Amino acid sequence: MTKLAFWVAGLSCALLAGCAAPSRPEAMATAAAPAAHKSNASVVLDVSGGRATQSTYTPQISNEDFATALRKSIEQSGTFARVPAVPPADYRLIAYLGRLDSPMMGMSVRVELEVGYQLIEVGTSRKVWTKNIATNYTVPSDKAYAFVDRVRIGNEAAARMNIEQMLTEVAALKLP
Amino acid sequence: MLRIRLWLVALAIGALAGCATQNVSHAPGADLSTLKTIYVQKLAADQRGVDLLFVKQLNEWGYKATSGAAEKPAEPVDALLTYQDRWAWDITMYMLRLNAQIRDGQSGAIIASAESMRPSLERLSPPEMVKEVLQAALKKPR
Repeated sequence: MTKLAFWVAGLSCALLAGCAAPSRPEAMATAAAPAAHKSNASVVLDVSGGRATQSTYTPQISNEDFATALRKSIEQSGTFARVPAVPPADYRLIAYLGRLDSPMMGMSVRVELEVGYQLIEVGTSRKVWTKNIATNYTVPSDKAYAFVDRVRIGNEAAARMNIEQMLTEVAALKLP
Repeated sequence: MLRIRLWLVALAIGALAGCATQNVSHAPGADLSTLKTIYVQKLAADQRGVDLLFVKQLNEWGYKATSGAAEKPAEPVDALLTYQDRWAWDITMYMLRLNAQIRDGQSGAIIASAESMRPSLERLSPPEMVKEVLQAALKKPR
């Protein structure tokens, strides 16, 4: 009887401990060095393709959280002067989260993320820059106890690296 | 005693059952109606011939589909298709999750992405999983 009760308690704890938490915007934002070139223009963000995290599935990246991370990263690096929440703005940065892949189980966790970016000059509707950026990050087994935490850490690192690469390439455009 | 046993059974079922989920998204401005030729890029780790299932289904729908291990086809195509399949064991091996990405034939940028996840009790055969994912990605009627 006592043994059975322990089994029930153990199973319940295991189920509850394994609940997935969403990737955090503050951990996806990059605090890298200031942009090599700072534009005086403003940019509005348009993020799609992300997904909300369900507690019973692996952690995901939502559109809102990725947009928050993008906004923070742009503001910190100074790549653009302003990032208004809604139009009007000089540029529109579209980010489409096309692929976020991680294993369903395992010790070390490799996360792969692919984001399609388009930078559009709003006044002329001209595509100034377009790029598909793929990043990946492997989380070692000793980084976190729960599998879903390792996936979340992998998501956040892959997203951070992706945003960093995007900022570097946009700064290289030397926009006015 | 009986109550605890019932809890154990319920917990076990809850842990194993889960729900089938499908997810799809399309890149802003993506136009899939003009696609005619599609190259399925065989996943290096795929030993089960999932790439051929994609090719078969696409050809049945009237696309001109080919597959290969090379990253790009020998001749230009309208779209590339990449995929990731995950398998699990429950009495027999079954396809737990299938992801597919439709990419622009020239730039390789993802224009559509679809996923089907089916736990053991709601499993489908690999051809059915492939069909389900393609229906979502290519906006085909079910």
